[in-house]
Amino acid sequence: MIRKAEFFDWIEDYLLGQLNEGERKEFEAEMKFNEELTKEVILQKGIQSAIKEKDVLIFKEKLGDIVNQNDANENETDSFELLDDFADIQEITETIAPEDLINFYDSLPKVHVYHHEITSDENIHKFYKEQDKEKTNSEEDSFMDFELEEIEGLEDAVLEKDILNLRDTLSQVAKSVVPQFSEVEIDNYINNELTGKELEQFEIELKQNRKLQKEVELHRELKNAIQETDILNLRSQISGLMETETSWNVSSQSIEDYIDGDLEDELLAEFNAELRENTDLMAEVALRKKVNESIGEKDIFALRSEMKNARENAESKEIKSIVMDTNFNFSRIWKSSAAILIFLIGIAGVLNNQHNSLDKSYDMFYEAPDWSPERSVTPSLGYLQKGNLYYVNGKYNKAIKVYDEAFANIKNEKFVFHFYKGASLQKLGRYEEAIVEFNQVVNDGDNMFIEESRWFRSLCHVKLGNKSIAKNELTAIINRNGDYKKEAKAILRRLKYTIR
Amino acid sequence: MKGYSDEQILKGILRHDNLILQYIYKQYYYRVNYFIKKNQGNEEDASDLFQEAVIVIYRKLKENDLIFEKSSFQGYLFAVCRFLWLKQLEKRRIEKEKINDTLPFQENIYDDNLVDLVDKNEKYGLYQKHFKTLSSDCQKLLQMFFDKIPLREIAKIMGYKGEKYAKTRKYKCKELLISRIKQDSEYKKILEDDT
Repeated sequence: MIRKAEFFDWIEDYLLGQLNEGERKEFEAEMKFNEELTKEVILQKGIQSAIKEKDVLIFKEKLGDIVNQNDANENETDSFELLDDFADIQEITETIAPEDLINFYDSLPKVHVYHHEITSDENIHKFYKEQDKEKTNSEEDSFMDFELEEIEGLEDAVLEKDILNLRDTLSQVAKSVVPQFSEVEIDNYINNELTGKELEQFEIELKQNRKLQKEVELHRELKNAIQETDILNLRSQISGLMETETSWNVSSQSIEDYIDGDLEDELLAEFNAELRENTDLMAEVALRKKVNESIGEKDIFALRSEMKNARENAESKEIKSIVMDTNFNFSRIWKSSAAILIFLIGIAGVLNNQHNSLDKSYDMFYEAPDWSPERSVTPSLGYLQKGNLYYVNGKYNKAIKVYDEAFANIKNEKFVFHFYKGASLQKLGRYEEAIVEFNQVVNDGDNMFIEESRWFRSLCHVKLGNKSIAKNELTAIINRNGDYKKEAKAILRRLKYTIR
Repeated sequence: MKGYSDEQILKGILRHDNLILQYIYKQYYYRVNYFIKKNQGNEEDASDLFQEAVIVIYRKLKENDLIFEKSSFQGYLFAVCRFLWLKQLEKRRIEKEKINDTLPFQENIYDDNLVDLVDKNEKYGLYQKHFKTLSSDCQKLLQMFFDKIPLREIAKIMGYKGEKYAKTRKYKCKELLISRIKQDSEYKKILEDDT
């Protein structure tokens, strides 16, 4: 066993043949098992033989001297003069005259020729033959002392270096080259529209070019994928279904029975089994329980009347301030009063068990529009302020009169008045007339009230019992992915129940 | 709710029967949802996965490659869902060994064909997702083109000036589609898996 510290001495002695027979055998036996030692021996051997190649080292030095000499010798007229201009490359940072540029333009080809020549045996010989004999005389003597042919593999090695360079260059070129074939050509190939030479070239490239193969594959698959209309349809059918359907497997009646404690035995076990895993069902049960609780709260009546008083007080105060300050934000008053109203309507809806399901949907989701002067742009703010003052105070008939007056006197942006007229009519329960007004807003095509008008119009249809129209309108709202998408989905779900 | 036999369900899927699809959704979705949530997924993962599982089954049916001898529709559906989710976990570099099996899935369904079919479905699903993001005229144009409707006729249907315009428009649509697909990180992952 050789200690690690002694590795180097042993290796050196081994390579120099200075180990005795016994030591050599022991060393070689160790090498068989010790990979690290083997590697070290190979490395040392390489270093030794490299150092031993003195002739190569000398040759390298000589070549370096010759190149330097050539650079210095400006009058030299052999093929290396091609590089003369290139030696002045630093001048590029200065202002260059057009003639200089012309002289420079072929500098790259010159470099190419230079490389070509130094790798060519013939030119190397020629180069040495043409050296100034006086200057190189002494060097030539020593240089000629060894024959190129005697240094085994040297020429091969020189050439090999160039091949390495060439390989590097090629890989760089490959990286910078853009795909050879355009999408159009690939398409034409797939559609059998390439012929003759074009087709031949494409197929040759296709065999060798993996990237192109991938491209062609993508185009082919894409074609097949797009043609799968059945899958496309099925996918949208399932996703539509998942958006509108409830995800529980029990009836509304079972949920109510469960809450009331009327489910028993097997049915109860089944219900519980689903309830354990179905989070949507859990949410539904929780919601229904809350609704039941709110119905049971008798003191809600007292609260309602208190709120009504609060609203009336607030409104009368706000109206005073409107008169005093013309910049007052109407939207705020309306929002606060509307919020209370909606709450009351909601509660009333919950309390009134006689309401049919459609009415319930309407009441749950109807929230009268705000008046937002900032959306109303420029026209006829006078009419608008006047009309909407009535609107926020619930004097819808008077508001409508002002809006009608406005129609007779203004030319642009009538949609604002149509919208608030529609909202007033809806408030008055004149749903059919409201629909006409909302239609006007939607047909106007480009304004900020369209989305809301669609929503309120669909609610009017719900209230009128126009189930199929309401359904279409709500579906359209969902498809447009608008602000009322969620509410529309919820109503659709309720509508489905009433249809059943 | 009315119960359906496996055969009725499979036939229903084949003809895209809304009632059957509804039944499948109501009957099985919540269990898949629960399974996904128990295994590091969310609601969105669950609904995407459920949808794709039904599509995979439809593809199998279309290839006439789905016969239940010992298994049932429920077992098969859950097995496909589980398989798809395991694939997802692998992609997200989440340990799939610790999977929390809440589904009564059918074992031994993973034939080579299913694996290939799921891969194909994944790839095609991605292409189709981006196809759906194109404008409707682009979608219509590409579909007609792939259905080999003559350019002259396509131009006429779409109200284009002429064949040449239809062709240019088609290239533009396709280029847009291809660039969207290539930019998708999912596509890059698929490419990596292929190499």
